Amino acid sequence: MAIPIITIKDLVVEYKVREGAIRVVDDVSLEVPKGRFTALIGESGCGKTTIVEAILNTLPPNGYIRKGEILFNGKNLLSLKEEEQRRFRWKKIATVFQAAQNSLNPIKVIGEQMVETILDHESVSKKEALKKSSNLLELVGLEPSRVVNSYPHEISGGMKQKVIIATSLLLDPEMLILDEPTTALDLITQFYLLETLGKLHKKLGITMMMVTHDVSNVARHADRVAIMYAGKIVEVGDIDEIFYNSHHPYTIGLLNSIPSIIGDLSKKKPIPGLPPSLLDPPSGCRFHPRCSYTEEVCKNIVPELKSIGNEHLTACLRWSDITTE
Amino acid sequence: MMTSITKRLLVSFVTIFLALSITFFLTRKMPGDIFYTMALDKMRTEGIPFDVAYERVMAIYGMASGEPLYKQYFAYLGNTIRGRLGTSIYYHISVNKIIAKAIPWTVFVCSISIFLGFIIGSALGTVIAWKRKTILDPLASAYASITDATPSYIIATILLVIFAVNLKWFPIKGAYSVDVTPGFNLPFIWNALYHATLPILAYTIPGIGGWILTMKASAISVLGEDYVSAAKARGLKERRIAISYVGRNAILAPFTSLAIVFGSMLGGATLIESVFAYPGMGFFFGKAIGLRDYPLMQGLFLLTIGGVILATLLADFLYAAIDPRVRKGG
Repeated sequence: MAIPIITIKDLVVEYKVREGAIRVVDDVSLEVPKGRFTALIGESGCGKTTIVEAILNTLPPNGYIRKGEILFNGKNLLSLKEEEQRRFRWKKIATVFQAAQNSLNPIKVIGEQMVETILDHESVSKKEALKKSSNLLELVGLEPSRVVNSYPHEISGGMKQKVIIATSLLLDPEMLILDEPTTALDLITQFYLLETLGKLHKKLGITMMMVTHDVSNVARHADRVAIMYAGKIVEVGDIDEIFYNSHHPYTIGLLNSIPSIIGDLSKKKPIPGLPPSLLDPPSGCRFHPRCSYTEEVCKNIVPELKSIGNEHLTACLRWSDITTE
Repeated sequence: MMTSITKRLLVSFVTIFLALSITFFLTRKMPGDIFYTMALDKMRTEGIPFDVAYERVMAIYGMASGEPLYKQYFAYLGNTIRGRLGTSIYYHISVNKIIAKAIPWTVFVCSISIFLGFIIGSALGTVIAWKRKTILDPLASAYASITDATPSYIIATILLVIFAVNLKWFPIKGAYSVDVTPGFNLPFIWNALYHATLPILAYTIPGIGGWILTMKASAISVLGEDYVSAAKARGLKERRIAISYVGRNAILAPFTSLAIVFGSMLGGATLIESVFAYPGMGFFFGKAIGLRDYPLMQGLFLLTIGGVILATLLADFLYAAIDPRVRKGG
């Protein structure tokens, strides 16, 4: 197994709400291997974005880390001071956000926003910064001369997303976190964007972590997958292991529910029921009320994420009885 | 672009015409007239019956009372188009002259106050929105609520009583002392500023409060925008985010109100200028309304309306200059 670039240990993140504290991320441990393309997959509201926010320390004001550690190359991120944190951001880990469409300042030309990102971190001349920005725009398949002097509203959504990916590479980060990078884009644009990301990953060898609810999005480019359900990681493994040799009923259900354009939709089996409320999660295994393999023991014992060989970890008490058919 | 400018100018022209007509008829419908007031005066001083006094007054001013309203209206429109605003009934000089004398004082006091209020208020508003948990927030909000809710003439009166009457730090009335020569010389400018201090304060004190509230609300909504959190994630320097991400975007909305405030300033603040007997537009407005001096009143109305319309037009064009999204399409 490759050296982990990020190691999350026993992370607990809570949100303070009127009813008390919601535990959105509950005792999560995860290693993101260096140089690889990891996908973190889960339904909306399972806490995957919160993990990203915890890594970047961009949790909303009512969110806080209750316990746990997040190590980046062995260094604890949670103990960084404010200025260290600012310098760390983008230089080490860059992010492409959910709804990235709106993550550009509407009243500044794109070139200026890229240049100031470089200037706030490195002491280079404006000219060099502009040169680098242009090169990266070209790398993601945009025409720099057209984009640099444009305002965000003057280019299309797909182009904006590419601008943001180019922006994320400005400081040669060691890692790129993509949070639902293709939301709100049409399928064709999605496809090309993912191609671009895949190419960048191969070409630059940059570690990527993509958060998504769409399994089909990552199948082509990711090589490692972590599945999340109701605040917990339920299965982690290399992509082939997860897709063809899963030992967790939720993963199998999730994969079975992907519709394909040419397949027969009636043969698809959605997972019955709804994800649980995190205010009052089910006892034992959180998936037990929706699982067809549930036994009495599943209601009482919280399954731990444990290795079953082949760098494959799963959190199911009955994992040995469960296989992808 | 050309057509949109023509369209806007046309709309402005129609607005001015409508406003002129409405003010003309409205002022005539006001109860009482200047001759009535003067006749009452004459009746008392000369001890003659009211009817006789009224007739004499009319005769003195050469007013043919039988002139039908529509004739007066067309005569008024014709004169206005030629730039003649008529003669003040009370002051016996042309309205143009009165306005020409009053405008500089109002512009002087108001532009200083508006700039001061806007700059201080919006800067404070941004800071408060940016640093949510400082003591500044409740303090500034309380200040803004109190000053914004207090009528400006009360603030003016309080300032007058404390600083002019009791402490005698500032003059009680007027725009400059008799011992300086008006013109572009330092003693005169100092003297004018000295006289303008209290009126400026009376404008600025509530002005700051209003801009704090407006800017705070605007900045808070901008702070929730994705591009602000994205700027933080990019590790941009805090100063840059506060100024060119939050500040510049948040100022777009208040900016329009600023232009309109500037426009309506030509009408002067009647009550403030009256309290300080400051010879600006508002002072004469108060006088004209009190005395039913129609020509003066209409002249001042016309200027206020023109000012607001001009400012709105200007705001549209300036807005396009600071917000690139407005530049195209129009």
